[in-house]
Amino acid sequence: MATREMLLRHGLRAYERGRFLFALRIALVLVPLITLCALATGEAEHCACLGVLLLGLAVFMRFRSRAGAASVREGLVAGSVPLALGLLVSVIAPECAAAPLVSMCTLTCTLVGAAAGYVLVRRAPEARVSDVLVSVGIASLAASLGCVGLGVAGIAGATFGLAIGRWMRRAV
Amino acid sequence: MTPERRKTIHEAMVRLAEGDRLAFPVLVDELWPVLLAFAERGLRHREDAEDVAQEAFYKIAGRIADFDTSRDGLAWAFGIASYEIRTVRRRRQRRREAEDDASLAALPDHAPSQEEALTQQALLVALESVLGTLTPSDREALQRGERDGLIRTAAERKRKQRALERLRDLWRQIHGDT
Repeated sequence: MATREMLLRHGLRAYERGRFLFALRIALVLVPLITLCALATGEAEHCACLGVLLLGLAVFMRFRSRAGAASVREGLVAGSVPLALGLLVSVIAPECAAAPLVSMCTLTCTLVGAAAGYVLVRRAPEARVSDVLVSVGIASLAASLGCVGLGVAGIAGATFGLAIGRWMRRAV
Repeated sequence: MTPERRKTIHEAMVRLAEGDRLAFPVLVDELWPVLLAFAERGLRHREDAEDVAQEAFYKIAGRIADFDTSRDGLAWAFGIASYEIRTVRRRRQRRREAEDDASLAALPDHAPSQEEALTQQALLVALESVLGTLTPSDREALQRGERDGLIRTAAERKRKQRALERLRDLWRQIHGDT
């Protein structure tokens, strides 16, 4: 005979397990990206570090709530452009890895990050501050995966660009 | 099922889908009785219905993260419960068929095995070859039996006995003592 307590206990366990499996599905997207980062840039340790951070944050936010899952999705979409461009640049212009802070390489990442940040806010104008912060964080980490081959300057540029883009959109 | 109850269940499912764990007791209190009644109508057996309803409830809880909130929550839940009910019905059907097969298999089989049948056939062929060497009167004497009333006198019995002795001697000549 099923009692209320039994249904609550086992049901809640099934619910949390279901949420966790739902959250973990993002690994199907992120693990190949992290692998691609390591192969394209040769910076396996940096890619692994960034990848673990990105995966951890994404899984946690998706597990927590559906709004978190939406933020992760927005962040990955926004971060995908600087990620792709960064990987491309690191393959065709590997000298960017040693580029100084003020350089064309950094500028590229900054501009692309700004565009991504602008788009991010445009797609989610009514989002709460916490959700936007999550999206920006996810986007920064994703962009960093692409720009890790361009050095710290590239990562900083992408993150800065995202923040600038968001500010610009809000100001317009 | 009132519209208010349906709305309450749907809202609880939406809240859970969005991550609000506090809605879970509401789902237990509102959805469980509905699921149980649905399962009882589908299976007409209280214990099976409870098991099915429980299984369905846990599956609903496990899949709520994927629930499309634009759909009706109760209809979605009934879809999962229907699948569980159909599974139990199919299992019952298979069990019934297996029991029928088992009871048929338990009946004794008086038919001879293949080896016995081949041995019998070989003996009949051998017997026919020996019978063919007997005289017509010996063959007629062997065909008469006491049960069917064809051997009535001692002379007829003696004639049959001599025919059997000649058959035995001929058998030994053709096939040996085996």
